[in-house]
Amino acid sequence: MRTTDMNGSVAPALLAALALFLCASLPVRCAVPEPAAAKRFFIGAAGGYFRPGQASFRRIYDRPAWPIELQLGWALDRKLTILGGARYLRATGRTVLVQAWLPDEAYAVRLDVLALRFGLNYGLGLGRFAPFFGAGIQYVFYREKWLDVSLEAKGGKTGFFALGGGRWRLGRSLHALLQLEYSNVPAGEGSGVSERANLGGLGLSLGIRAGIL
Amino acid sequence: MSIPKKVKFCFLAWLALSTLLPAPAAPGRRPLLLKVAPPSAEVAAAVAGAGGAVVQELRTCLLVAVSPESLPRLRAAAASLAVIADPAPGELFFLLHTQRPSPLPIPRNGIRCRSLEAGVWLLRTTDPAFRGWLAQPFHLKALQPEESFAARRRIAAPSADRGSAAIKPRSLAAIPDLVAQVSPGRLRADILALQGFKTRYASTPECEKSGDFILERFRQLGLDAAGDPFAFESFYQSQNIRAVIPGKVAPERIVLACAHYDSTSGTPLVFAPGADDNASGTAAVLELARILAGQSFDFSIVLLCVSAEEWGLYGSAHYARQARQQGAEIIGVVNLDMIGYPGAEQRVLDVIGDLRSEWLADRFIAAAQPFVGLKLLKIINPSLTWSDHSSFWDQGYPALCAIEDSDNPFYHRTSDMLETLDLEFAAEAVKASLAAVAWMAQPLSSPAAPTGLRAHSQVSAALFTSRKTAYLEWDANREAVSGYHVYRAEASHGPYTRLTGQPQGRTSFVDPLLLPGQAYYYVVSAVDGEGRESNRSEEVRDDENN
Repeated sequence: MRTTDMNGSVAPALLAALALFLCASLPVRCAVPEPAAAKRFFIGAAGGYFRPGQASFRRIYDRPAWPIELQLGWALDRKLTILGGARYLRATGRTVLVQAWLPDEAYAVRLDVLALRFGLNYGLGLGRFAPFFGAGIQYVFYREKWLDVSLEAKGGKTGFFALGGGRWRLGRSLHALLQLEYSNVPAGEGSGVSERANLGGLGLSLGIRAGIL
Repeated sequence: MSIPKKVKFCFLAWLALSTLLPAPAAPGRRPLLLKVAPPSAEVAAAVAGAGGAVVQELRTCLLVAVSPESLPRLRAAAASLAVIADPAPGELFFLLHTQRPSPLPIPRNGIRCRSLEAGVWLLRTTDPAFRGWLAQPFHLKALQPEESFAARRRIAAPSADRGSAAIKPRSLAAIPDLVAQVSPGRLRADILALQGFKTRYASTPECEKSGDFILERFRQLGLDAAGDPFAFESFYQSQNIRAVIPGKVAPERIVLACAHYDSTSGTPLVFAPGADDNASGTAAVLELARILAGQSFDFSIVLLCVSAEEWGLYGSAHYARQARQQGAEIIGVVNLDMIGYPGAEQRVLDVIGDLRSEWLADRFIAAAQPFVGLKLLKIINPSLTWSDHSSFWDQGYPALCAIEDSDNPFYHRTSDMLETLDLEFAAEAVKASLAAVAWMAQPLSSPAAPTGLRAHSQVSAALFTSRKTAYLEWDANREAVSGYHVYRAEASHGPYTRLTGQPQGRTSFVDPLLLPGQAYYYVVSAVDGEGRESNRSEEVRDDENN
């Protein structure tokens, strides 16, 4: 059974919105220069909400999933930052039936996903507020475990992500950030509900980051 | 204005000719006979895809019929392809087996032979008396081009299409008593009686009398028996003789034992005693009838004596074709052909099958070996089409041929007489066949096998993993039972694994966490208060009732 996948249609819209946002910000950027003594290395943490892009993913793991993320960055210059980090997500749900005969059969399942990420971030200094966008690749470790019986599947797959958002300077080296991200992680053979599983989706997260060097 | 007489005449003449004369055949519409290799399922699928049909499956190639238009398409799929015949109306086609370098010692107009593989030839002829020109000995199998062209045969993958009765070890308890009843003396009497007809060459009155003799023997045993007349090669008629021992649990399922009772020789119209070929096999079927009549089995046993085998397997082809058309559920066919001449120092019985029938050969040997002192030699070769088992292969039924592993020097000669036979060897072959037939038909024991087994399955899926659950239900036995056992197999008809440690009282069973891509097969048995287990039910696939 093939399921609808929303990833393909969301990505262009997201990138277009980011571009529009950056264009609108340009006049302000010219007026308020970035402070000169910015730290080049930063560390941050974020948490938020994740919505799987694949319908079958949402159907099985139908409870809200709250990923947490650790970010590391190295500013190459005022605009361009090398971004790394790790993102962890745990989702729980119940199996779904294919060609149901007795509709009450279901098994509790849990999915753990750890993504190691590497990418580039382009940011604009606009005083206290700085919009940014970025993209990169990620390697995702996953483990799907049936909780009632001894059965699990695990593996690792490569995908990509794109993100955009803004950060607000709270102190000399401390920023709050809000980011929207899109990810796509084709994860090979699926089960009876989809021909191919995809661990990507949309995420909205809130966090802080601090310059340390 | 009046129409000139010449024009009127021409118009009427054209009208008359166009009405009376058949329309000329469209060029290129008549199928061609091709030899295609390899004989794989992929090539067979390509033949079907090209709108053609497999006429005969052989060990190294396929004989196929396709329209000339489809030739390029098929050429792309096959590793090797050769056009070997363009069938003409009225032509007869035979598969001819001979060990001679050439089937025709002297070239003869109207008879053409083409080698298909070692020892196997395609013979095409418009000469009804062609048999007189062939070098003896030979075996013929008539090919039915028109019929085969329309059929879409498939090539069975090894072990992929297995089907038979589910066997319960306990049911074997009755078999030794049955086997012990085989009598060489009775075999001798029956062979002598059949030999006494002078000739049993199909189409002769003596052959028909021998058929009537077999029919009478069946009826004397109290069996439901009948003759089934059929015509062959336009001018001739003969009859198959059939008797049935109806099954008690699933009578629609049939275990079939057969032998041809017709014979041939160098002077077939006058004298063809055919003691080994095949009064021995016919006597074996009569002995099976004598011992099995009055016994109770889960499945029906059909005892069949066919005619016109020596002409080209016409009798068995007639029966098998009818069975297929009527949807008969034949579990397996045991064809007994020449079981009385073991040869010097040899006590080997060949058990010949095709790929689809390999399980049957295995089962035959497993059932028979404990009861006989013969070596049972399994031979899987689809090219061995020279006896009646081949007609059942053609219709997709599992079939084997039990035959002596020797070259009988009296074969197809007037010297094929009782005196040349080893009746102890023949009795051993009958014991082997009896054990196998009875085992497959399942001697009835108490309690009765459960009926009405139904299965549904559904798949529970997570994102990466899924598992199937099978739900079984069956009808409760009418007699009192202490419970039921459930068995599962990953291939049709086993081997089965019992899933229930103790008999369970419910008439339903849930089998969870199965692999979704794997088909599972189930049978159930009933256990009475004394711990006696019934024969197993009919098999169901996990999704059979979805």
